[in-house]
Amino acid sequence: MPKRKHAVTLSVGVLTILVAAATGGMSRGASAQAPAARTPIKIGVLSPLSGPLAALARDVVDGARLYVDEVHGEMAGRKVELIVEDYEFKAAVALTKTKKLVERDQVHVVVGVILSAAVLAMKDYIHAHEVPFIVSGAAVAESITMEKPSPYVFRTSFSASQVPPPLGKFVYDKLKARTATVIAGDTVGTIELVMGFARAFEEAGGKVVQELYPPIGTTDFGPYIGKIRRDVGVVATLVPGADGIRFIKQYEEFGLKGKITVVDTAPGITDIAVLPAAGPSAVGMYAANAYVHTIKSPANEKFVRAFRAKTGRDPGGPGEYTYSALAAINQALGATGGNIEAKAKFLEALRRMDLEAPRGRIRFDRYQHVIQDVIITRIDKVGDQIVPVAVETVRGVDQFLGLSPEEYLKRPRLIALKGTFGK
Amino acid sequence: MDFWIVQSLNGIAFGMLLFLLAAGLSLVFGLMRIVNLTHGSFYLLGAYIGFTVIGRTGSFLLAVVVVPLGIAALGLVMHRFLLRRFQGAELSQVLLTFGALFIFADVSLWYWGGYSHVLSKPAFLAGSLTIGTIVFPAYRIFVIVTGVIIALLFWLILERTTLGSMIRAGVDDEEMVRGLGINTPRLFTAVFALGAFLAALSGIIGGPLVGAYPGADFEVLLLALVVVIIGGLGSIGGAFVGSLLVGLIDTFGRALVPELAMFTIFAPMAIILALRPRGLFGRIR
Amino acid sequence: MRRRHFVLGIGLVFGLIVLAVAGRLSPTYYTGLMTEALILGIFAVSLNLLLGHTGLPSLGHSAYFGVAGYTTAILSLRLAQSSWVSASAGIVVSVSVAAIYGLLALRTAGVYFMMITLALAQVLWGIAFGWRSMTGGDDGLPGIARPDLGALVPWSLQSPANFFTAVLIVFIIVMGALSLVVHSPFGYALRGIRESEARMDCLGYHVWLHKYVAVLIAGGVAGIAGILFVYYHGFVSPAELSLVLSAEGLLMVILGGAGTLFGPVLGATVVVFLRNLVSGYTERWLSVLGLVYLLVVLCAPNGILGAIRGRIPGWLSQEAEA
Repeated sequence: MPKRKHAVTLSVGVLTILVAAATGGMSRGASAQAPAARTPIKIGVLSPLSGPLAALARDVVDGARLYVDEVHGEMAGRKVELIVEDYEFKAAVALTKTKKLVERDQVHVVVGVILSAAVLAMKDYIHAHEVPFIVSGAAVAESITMEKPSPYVFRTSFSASQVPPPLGKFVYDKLKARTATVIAGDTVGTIELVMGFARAFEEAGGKVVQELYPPIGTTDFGPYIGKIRRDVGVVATLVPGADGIRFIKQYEEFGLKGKITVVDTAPGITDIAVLPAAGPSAVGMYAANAYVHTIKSPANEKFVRAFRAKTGRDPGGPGEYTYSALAAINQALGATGGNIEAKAKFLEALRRMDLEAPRGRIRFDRYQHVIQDVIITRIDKVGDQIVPVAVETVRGVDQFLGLSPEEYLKRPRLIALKGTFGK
Repeated sequence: MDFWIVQSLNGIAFGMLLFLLAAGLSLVFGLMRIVNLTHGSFYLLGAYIGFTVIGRTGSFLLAVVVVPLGIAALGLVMHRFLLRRFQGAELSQVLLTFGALFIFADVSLWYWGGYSHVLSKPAFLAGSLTIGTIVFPAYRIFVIVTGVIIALLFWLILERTTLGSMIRAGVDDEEMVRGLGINTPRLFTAVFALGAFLAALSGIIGGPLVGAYPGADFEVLLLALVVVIIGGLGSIGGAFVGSLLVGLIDTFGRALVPELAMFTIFAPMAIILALRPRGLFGRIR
Repeated sequence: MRRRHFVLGIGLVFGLIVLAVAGRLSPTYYTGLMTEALILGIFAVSLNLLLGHTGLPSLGHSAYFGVAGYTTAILSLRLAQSSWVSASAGIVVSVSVAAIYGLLALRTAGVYFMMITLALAQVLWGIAFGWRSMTGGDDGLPGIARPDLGALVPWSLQSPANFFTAVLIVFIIVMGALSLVVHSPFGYALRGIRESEARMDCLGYHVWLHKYVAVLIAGGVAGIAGILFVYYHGFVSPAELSLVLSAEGLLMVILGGAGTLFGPVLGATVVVFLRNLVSGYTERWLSVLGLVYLLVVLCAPNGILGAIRGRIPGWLSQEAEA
């Protein structure tokens, strides 16, 4: 009997000591923000560095690092510190890492994130803790900047409502396809992308006859490829990253390459970070992009040269989106005299972003999402390289496709369209 | 009609891959009652090291021969120095293999990075076979053939060799086998190494299809667990039947009712657990 | 005896006061960690009832944790129910699942019990992963709001300090209740079953019923932890039903000391702080965690409390004798 009581007291004591130690360990942590001029600006970079999209995730980090290098580690006279965290392409981990970035590392702003579900998991927290967040990896679910828009959430990548629709029209008008099968990874971002394509394709006059949604992480696409109707005009896909590589290779193995054209509704397989691994299997695909490294402009050529020099590879979309996000932060800091702690002013300055980014001129709309051109590419073999070649550019596309926000929001949300085609 | 043939072949190919994965686990569990959570790690290490070997030497054959032997050695060391003394203390072994799983996963992450790697197939297997209107990847046929050959080899070894009879006896009654003077600790270590060998082999064979990526160890482990539970613990025949069943159910499940994709794997497992906990061919010792 | 009780009581109250104050005064990050430690402490203590007290090694305890969390989330998000309804339903569901799973799992023992509990939890995981329209699949369900205590007390649970206090109160209640269970004749019977089922059976105890009730209680308490977890994060995903979580529960129990009352809480605290703090210093924290698993089994099978107290009949040491 007596021993047990001692043990209980002892354990409570140990617990208390642990707690006290932890408390003491960080009591010197910043309670109030130090005066603006001296402390470094901390930018949290959240990227899925392990997982099926690791190749794209790398671009996010390198894009950020490249920009910081170019400004010599300083914005508006203050040092800039990047804190990189890996969220393993899981929404739950993204939330945990965000908490760490905000509460422990005390970052001033967060950039990155490719997985839409991760942003949706983080959004409430970010809003409650008033942390400026520029979605710059991908995270294209339209609801992020459309439904319950938060003044803290910006996006420099693209939206599912913005990039695929011009491709839908293109496929009907120029490729003359009349029927389509859509196949996408079963997560909200990729689903919305093919839904954006599907809606535009049908508005142009086509018919979507099949929807397939292999779970993220599927390795054997045999069952899904076996299901694709052999009489369909085009297969519209967003199977992302490593999954996409397997998909397009198995697509060829099952004899469908060359028989039914595959179009990437956004850079899933066709992003230059992923394309080399997909290899010859991807030749002949079309894709809709917000950014391609082959854009001919002085700003882009300079960017691509610098990126290549730093990393030895060509920049994919997430690299440019994040680079631009950092540029936007710098521009806003310039307008506020480096005072990132005065949040309202900083956010106001950020909203007025007007940049000559590598992809062209970009500004935010009223809902803090970027307005940009959409470039349709075809994957060709040029020499012994597999490269995207631009075939058409649609200028100045916004997330509401030219409609007023009120009008656009009256239509059903893209995610609600899942399962409504092919009936 | 084409649809059914193609999907059946897909299911059988996947099933054979599952068999390669699960056979080792079933044996280790049946003989030693070890819930070897590191089984998936052996797969992952096999696939990653195979990827590096093929990348450096271009030889798939070399990888298939050398890598499983290396992983078998790893398994041998792990059992001999870590697990053997906890024979009978099953929870301890679960926790030890779980700790090992984390360490192997982290080492892989550190060395190979967070990328997904798909192993290159040998050139002569990279194409497709065309029979009439059906185009089917040659490599998947290879997987089917390999699975059948390994199953036959197993049957031969288990039924026709002394080692096999020792293993079968051990699965039935370990105490008796010890009583007969057979060095069970050494037998166990050998079988554990064999399990690791098979897991690594399935990593190389399955590598071109499934690949090596962070998290593969867990996914593979869970799949193997499903097969072993359905087929019966300790029974290779059960593992064979179980993996074919799971392969076909999963493939047709994904093709016909894709909303239930994950569920089609776990549902048969749940049914077996509810109705016949020992599995189709298992024996409770 | 009475003086010992007095000293113990003072020690306990003192410890809790320090904890409460520390929780309110710390920077939110550490308050958050303490909140998580308490929540997972409840989870670990419920598993301890099965493992440490009854000798049932469950590898699927996350099932009850996660199913309660999902129920609460789905009810408050999709069916717009109040927090009280959602949370109560969560507990009801976790106990119901325990009722079914108990019937299935208790037909086996030892390793088979481990495998079956693991498999049963995986079934729920598979459902959570696959049934996207209901559970959000791998994307999970975000946006779960904390209960609004408005009517009862004028405090918002939004602030980390207030939420920590609320969790601490629940923790105290749960530990108090479990303490009663553990020290009751029922608790003694459980420990007797752990030592030798045959003997207890001879003595006339209904062994199966005792085990079953233990499963129900453990399931319900794990459900409480799951609900707190979901309110803390505002998000639920299949990770709450995973093997990783179940194994972590086992680690917490054994690290702290199986069969003790506070051991698992200690274990939970160590694991939570280790996981979060170590990852701040090295990228190789997963290896560190793996090493902890190995070290606990190899060097401290009785756990921290067991080592302090001298030999206690922990589950691991018990096994090795067999």
